[in-house]
Amino acid sequence: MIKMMKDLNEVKKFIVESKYLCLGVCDTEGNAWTCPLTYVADGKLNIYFHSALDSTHIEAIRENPYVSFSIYDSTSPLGEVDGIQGKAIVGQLDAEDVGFVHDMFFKKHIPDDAIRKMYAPPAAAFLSDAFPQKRFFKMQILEAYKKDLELPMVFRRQKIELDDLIN
Amino acid sequence: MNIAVLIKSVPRSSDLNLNPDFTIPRSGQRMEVNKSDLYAIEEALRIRKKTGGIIRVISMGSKSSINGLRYALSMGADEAFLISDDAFRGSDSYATSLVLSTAIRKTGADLVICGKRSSDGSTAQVPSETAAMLGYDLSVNTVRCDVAENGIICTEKSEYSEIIRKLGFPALIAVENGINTPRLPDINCIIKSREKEINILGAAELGISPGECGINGSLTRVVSTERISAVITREGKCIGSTDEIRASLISETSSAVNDNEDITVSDKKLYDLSALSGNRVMVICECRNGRICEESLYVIRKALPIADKLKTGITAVIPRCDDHTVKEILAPLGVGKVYRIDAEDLLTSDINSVAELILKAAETEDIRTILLPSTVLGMRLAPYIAAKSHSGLTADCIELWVDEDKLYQKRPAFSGKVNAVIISQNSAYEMATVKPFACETEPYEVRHAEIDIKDQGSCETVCESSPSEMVALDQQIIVGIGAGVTDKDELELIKEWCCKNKYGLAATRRAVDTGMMPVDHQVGLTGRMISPKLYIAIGISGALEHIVGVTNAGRVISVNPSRSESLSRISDVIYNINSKEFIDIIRKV
Repeated sequence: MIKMMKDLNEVKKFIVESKYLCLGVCDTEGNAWTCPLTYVADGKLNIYFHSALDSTHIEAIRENPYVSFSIYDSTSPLGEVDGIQGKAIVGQLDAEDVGFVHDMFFKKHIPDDAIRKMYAPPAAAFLSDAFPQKRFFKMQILEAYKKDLELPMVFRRQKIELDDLIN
Repeated sequence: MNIAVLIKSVPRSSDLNLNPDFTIPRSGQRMEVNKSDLYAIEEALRIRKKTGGIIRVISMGSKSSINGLRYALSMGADEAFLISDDAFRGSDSYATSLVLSTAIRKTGADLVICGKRSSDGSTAQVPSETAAMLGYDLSVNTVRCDVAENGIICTEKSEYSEIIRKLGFPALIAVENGINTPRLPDINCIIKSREKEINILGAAELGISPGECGINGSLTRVVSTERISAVITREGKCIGSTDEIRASLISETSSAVNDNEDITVSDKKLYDLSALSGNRVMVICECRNGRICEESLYVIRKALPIADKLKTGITAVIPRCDDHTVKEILAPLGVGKVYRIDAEDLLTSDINSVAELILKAAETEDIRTILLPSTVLGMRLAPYIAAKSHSGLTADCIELWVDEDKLYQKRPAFSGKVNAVIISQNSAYEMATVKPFACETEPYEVRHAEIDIKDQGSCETVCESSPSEMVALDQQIIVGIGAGVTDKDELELIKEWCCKNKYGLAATRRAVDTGMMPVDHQVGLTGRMISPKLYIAIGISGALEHIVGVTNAGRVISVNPSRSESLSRISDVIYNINSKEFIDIIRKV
C-alpha cells in the first residue's frame, strides 16, 4: 500500500520530527550543489541549521539565498517512502536568536542532558570569529509540496498552503 | 550617527580583460563586492548597533555595481548611492577620491568606513586621499574599533607596533581584513532590500566638471602592462622518488646556505653625487628606536640610480634621530640633505602637521620626486601628501626608472596577474611608495659630499603605541605554507623543522584566511616580498598573488602532489609528494 501524508497535521509532524534535509543551492554562475544537513524546525516551521561560513553551500547562498530542499526518510521501503520538497530562502540567524535556536537544535539531536552537556558545542562557538566560523542559519519555506493524493501512481506533487500548514 | 560605507564592485579575479587604454572594463564582466569592503559593511553594522543612526552605502562605478549595493542593503544598510557617470571612467585614485569625497559631503557622514584595498587596482590609496580631501581624522590598517564618547578608538597594526588612535568625528577608517566576520544577510533584510531605491548621482548632481575626474582628472596614467605569467618561468623539473627527493633537498639547502658571492670593487656601480647641486629626490624615512628602518634604506638605494640619471642628489626626511646615526648611515647612501622632524614616530604624530612639514621641505628643496616605503606609514602618509599637494602617486612599486626626464613606476595589479607601468601627469610631485625588498639592489659605491642636516620642526604625538615583534623573513631559506597543508599536527612538525634549522616561515593568503598561519607571515601581493636564496613551497598551488611575493627567490622547490602548469612555471624543482610524505623525508634528513 502506498503511504502518503494526508492532512496538514501529518505534514507538520513530519517536518518537526525529521532530522535531516537535503538542501539544493545554486550560485549566480549556475554552479549547483547539494548538501545534507541536520536541522530543527520551530512552531512556525522555520527551519534552522548550522554550517561553516566557507562551506560550498553557504558560499552559494551568499550569492543566491534562494534554495530548494527535500525531507524524506531514505531508509523507508519502496511504497512507504514519503516526504516534503520545496523552495525556501536562507539567511544568517541574528546573533540575538542564536542562544534560543542552539538550545532547540541540540535538545532535538542530543536529547540526553548529560551527553548533550559533554558533546554539544557552546552557543558562543556559533558567534566566534575564530576559524572555522560556524553560524546558524534560518530557512523560511516559500513553497512546499507533498505527494498528490489523487495521482498516487505517477507520484505528482501537490502544493501545500503554507498559511494553513503554519497556523 | 550617520555612517557612510564606501564599497566597490570588482571583477571576479578569474575574469581579467583590460581595455586597450588599460582601464578596467566595468560592464560585461562578472562583478562581486570587493572582499575588504564586506568587513567595512560588517563593522558599520556593529557600530550602528551600539550608537544607532543610519548606514549609507556609497559605490562609485557603472550600473553593474547595483548588485553590490543591493547586497550591502541586504546585509542591513539603510540607503544606497551609486556614483556613476561616463565622465568618471578611468579615474585613478586621486580622481576617485575627489569624486567620493564630494559624494560624502553631499550625503553627509560623521563616520566613513571602507576596506583597506580593492582586489583590482589594489593601491590602498583611496582611504587616505579621501580623508585628506575631506579633512577628516584618519585610521588605516584598523584591526579593532571601539565606540567612545565623542569619538572612536581604533587599534591599528603596523609592522613593528600596535597603535591606539582616538579619532574625533568626523572620521574615516580603513579596516583591515579579518577585523570581524562579515555576516550573511538575514531573510528580512534580503526581502526589504529588493524594494529599496538605489540613488544614482552623476557628475552634474555632484557639481564635478569633466576636467576634474576620469582620465582627464587623473594624476597618474598607465602606459603599458605585461602579464606576470609571461615573466615568471622556471625549469619545473619534477621528481617523485623518496631517494631523489632526499638527495635534492640536501643539495639545495646546502647550496643556499653556502652560497657566498664575492663582490669585487670592479663589480660595483659607482655613483658620484659629490659635485651635484640640488637634491630633488626626496625619501621619507621611518625610524625605530632611534635607528633608520631597513625598508627606508632600501628605498634610498632604489633612489640612487634615479638621482644619478637626473643628475641630482637625495634629500631624506626622518623623525628624531641623532647626528651620528644620520652621518654614519645616510651619507654613505648618497643622501646630501636631511630634514629632521622632531617626532618620536611619524606614524603616531598628527598626520596633518607631518604632511605640512614635509611639503614645506619639498618646496624649499625644489623636490620633483617623493618616495616612501610601502609600509603602514607609507600607506597612511603618502596618499595624504599626494592629495594635499595635487600629486600623482603609485603604490607598491617594484621597479623605478627615469626615461626622458620622466619617472616610470612599475607595480603589480589585478591580484598580481599583470605588472603595470605608470607615470604621473599634471602633478606637483611624482610620488611612489616602494615595495621593500622587491628585488635585489645591485652592488654600488657612492661618492658623496658632507651631509647637511636641517631641523624642520616638531610634531605632536597624538596616540599611543606599543611595540610588537616583527616576524623576520630575511633568512636565506624560507619555507612557505599553502592551503594544501591542512593538518595542524603536520604544520607543527614543519614549524619545528624550520626552527631547528633557522629557516624562515611564510604563508599564502589562503593559509592565513583559513587560520592555519598568522597574518604576520603572509607573503604576496597584499603581504610582504621576500628574496631568499631558496624557497620551499609546501602545499602551494602557484596562485600569482602569492608568487609575486617570491619572484626574486633564488631557487624555488614546490612540494605538491599535483603537476599543474602554474606550479611548473614557478618552480625550479617539484617534489611530487604531499606534505605528510615530505615530513617523513625531513625527519630522516
